[in-house]
Amino acid sequence: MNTSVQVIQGRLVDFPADGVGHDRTEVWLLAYAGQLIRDSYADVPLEITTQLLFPVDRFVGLDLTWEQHQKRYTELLQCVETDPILHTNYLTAYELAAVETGRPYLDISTTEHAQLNRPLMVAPHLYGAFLIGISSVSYADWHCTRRDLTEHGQAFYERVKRILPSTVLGLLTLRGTGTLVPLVLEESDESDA
Amino acid sequence: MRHKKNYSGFLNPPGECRISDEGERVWLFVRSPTDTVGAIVMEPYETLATDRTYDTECVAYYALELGLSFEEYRRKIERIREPLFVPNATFRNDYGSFYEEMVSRPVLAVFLMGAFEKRYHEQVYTYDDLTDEGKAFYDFIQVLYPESELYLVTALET
Repeated sequence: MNTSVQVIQGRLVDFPADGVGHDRTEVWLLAYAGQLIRDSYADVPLEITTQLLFPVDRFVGLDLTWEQHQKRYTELLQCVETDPILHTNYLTAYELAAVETGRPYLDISTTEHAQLNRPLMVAPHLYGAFLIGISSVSYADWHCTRRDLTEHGQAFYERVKRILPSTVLGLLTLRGTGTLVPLVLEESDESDA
Repeated sequence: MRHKKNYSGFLNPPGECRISDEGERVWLFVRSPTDTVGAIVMEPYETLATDRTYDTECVAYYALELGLSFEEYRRKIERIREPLFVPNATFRNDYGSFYEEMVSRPVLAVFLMGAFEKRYHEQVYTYDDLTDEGKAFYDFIQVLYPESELYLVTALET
């Protein structure tokens, strides 16, 4: 099923042709409030940001932290035989590397989901987020960077960057199907769901 | 101005006449046409109303003034906002209790269209209150997500 046809008009992301699995891949354009990224106590109007929450196991990569993430992942894999902490950590080496190298753009959230047993990752301090691409397959080693945006996508990227001050843009690649987290309705609403 | 940067974004610069010292923020929510894709996000703190629900919410508010109980008023507001926001049974804090704010149904995008440090608008912001560039952006988003419903959410900073 090519979901992108249903929800997004036009192609903003040039996905690779060589998918390896049937999990969906999504790309989100994140607009960070740069002044809060640099200093979370910065003097900015209250409540001008939001956050995006998703299960840590859906994380593939964020272009802003990809290099450090991969480097740390390699280091963790090398010491996995000698470091007992890794064996008891509730995160995989890939997830742990993502968290360790993600700040200030990504972190493990203190928020929990009512039905999921995996931790949530949070992209904090966002002016906003846009789902800009959906592929019906997953990839072995691909994350979206600016080079993967189509001309249409590049124009949108530049446009979003100019709207609010200190905007820092990130391209977040996630795997998996369904909403980022399941919506849980109160019992009285469930019959309407 | 307390803050050096200008966050007016796509909102028309305010005139001299302000309503109060509450700040106001306007968010664009893009409601996914399907519940199988998108993100669940928190309703903006101190949401006043959305452009699509404001008139109906006003009717509920008048009923409150005429003696409707607050609990019934709150339930009415929940029903009115139900196409976009629902009571939060999704996100819990690390003490195990649910956050009080409502959460969105799946959205494909959410974006701060602008913020002011004072309140200049008695009602909620609508498409007509956006700058020309803001209207163009809104129109572009509507084309980008053709089957989606767009909401402008006005929230106050108290």
